[in-house]
Amino acid sequence: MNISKKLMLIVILTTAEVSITVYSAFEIAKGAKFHQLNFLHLKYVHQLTKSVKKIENNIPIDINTIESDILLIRQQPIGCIEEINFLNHAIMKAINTDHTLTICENDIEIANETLLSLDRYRKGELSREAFLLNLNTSLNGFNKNSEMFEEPIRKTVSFVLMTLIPLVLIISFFNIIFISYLSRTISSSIRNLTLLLSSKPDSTINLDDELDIKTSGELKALVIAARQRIKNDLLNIENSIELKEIINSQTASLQQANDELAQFAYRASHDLKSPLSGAKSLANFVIEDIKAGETEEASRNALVIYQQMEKLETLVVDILLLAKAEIGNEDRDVIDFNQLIIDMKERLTWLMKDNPCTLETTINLSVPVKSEKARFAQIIENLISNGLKYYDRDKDAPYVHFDISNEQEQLIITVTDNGIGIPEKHQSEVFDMFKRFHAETSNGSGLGMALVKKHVEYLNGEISLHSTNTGTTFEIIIPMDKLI
Amino acid sequence: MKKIKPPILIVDDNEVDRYILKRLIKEAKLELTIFEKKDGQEALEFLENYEANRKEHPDGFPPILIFLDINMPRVNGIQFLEEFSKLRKMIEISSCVVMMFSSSEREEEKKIIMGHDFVKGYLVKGTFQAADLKEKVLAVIGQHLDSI
Repeated sequence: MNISKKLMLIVILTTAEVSITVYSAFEIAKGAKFHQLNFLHLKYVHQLTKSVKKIENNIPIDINTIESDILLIRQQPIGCIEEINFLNHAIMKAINTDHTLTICENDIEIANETLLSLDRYRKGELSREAFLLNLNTSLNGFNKNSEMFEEPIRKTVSFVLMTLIPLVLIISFFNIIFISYLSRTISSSIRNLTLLLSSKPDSTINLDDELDIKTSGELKALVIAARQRIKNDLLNIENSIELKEIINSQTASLQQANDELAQFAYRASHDLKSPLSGAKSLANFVIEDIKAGETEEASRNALVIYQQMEKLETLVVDILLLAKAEIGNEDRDVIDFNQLIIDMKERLTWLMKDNPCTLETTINLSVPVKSEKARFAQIIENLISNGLKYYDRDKDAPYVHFDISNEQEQLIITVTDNGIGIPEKHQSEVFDMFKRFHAETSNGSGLGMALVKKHVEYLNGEISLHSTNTGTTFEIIIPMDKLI
Repeated sequence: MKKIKPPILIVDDNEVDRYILKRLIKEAKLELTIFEKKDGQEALEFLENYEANRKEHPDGFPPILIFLDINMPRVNGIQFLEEFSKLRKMIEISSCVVMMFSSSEREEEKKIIMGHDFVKGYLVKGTFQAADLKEKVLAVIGQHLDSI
């Protein structure tokens, strides 16, 4: 049984108890009323007796007083019959006191007959003696009825007292016990739930099942609603934590990108400015030298200006390439690596002309590689030109070896040299922008390896380097699935 | 008496910039012995090799002024200043001061650089003429050039 039904039962029981108590009080009051009616009946009978006595002593008959007395007498049994309702009647019948009604009716009848004989006397149809006789007979009847009336009323009232009061007591007693029982069951189910919820988590007990078994009705509904609410709240908290993490990581990566960009802008503008301001000063010198007739110095400086401009051009081209490396180009073709190497050698003529290194290239591909040619051209050219630039003057047979092959799902490019190597402390900075590690040969833009890394990353590949003073090896591994 | 040309050191990886500075010094008619190093690493090695250099250049070592670039490979200008401040405590080069010679003017870098009390000036490449150079150099090492 749920709590609201238990509470409703308590209300019904209490209402019944109160109703019966009130009813009993009314019934007892009604008994008193009957006694009062009988007292009034006797009083008016007494008045009538006095009037009759006066007539017998030859005092003239006051017919109106007699009539009003009779009417007052008759009013009492009428009142009595009106008071007795259906339930009273049933009780009276049950305890054999229902002749009270007969007494009342008889009294009314006597009164009516007396009024009739009074009427006849008034019209002169009845003699004074006969009227007096009738009145005395009636008085006798009235007195007798009053006498008889007392007994059944007393009996009825005492019956009501004897039955209803114990009944009220029994119901009250039952009510107290039953209400205590109900309130105990309500509080104990709440207590059990509280205990269950405040107990320490136990892996052997499934709280959901326990709650399902041990609760019912409104408590079950409450638990289900609370559980749902907590679940939703937890979900919201989890979601907001996840969102926060996403925002944090995105903010961090944006911050990093921003820092990189700021660094790039600074370095790029510095490296652009440097040859420009150099050329500016040199141009000034050229003017001065021409004025002074020092044409040799002037033409030497003009050449340097030209070289500065070339350097600037290289830098601008490299910056553009780097910017482009971030953007995908849809022109993907099968790459002819033999041709690519030939083209590259042509571009590196200036470097290879006086370079003692032997350049060996090995192309060993079992499947055609389809990709953006420019990316591979830039990767290979940068790695090879670095190998050629940083050869070791102390070694007899400097070399640069380039290998490209495919193995299962991977394209592998290695560039190995026996050059001067990269000092260990600088190896982590090799792919940073604008980094140059050798004072002797620093005519590059400092962007080459950063560009290589950008391309490799774009192709979902990885680049690693191994370098000691015996030489350097770069290895690039690119998954084939992007190259078919 | 033979005129002594006070020694100075130019540390810059850019050959053109070194040439420009040398030519401006010449135009300013500053009589100096000029050493050139291509980055901070080379410069530090040159200074650390104190005894040998002292023997090799009896009147021309150590330099009394260093023109120092910032952006250089291996050891850059800022790293050089760190090492140089340690070096000053160990060897007899405390009279040597530094004048920056760079195309960059980043405030945060400048703050670190000027924090060293032996850094006496900051020249921005391409923004000065021979006369400006002379004025600044004389302000720093004028006492060594009195004989001119």
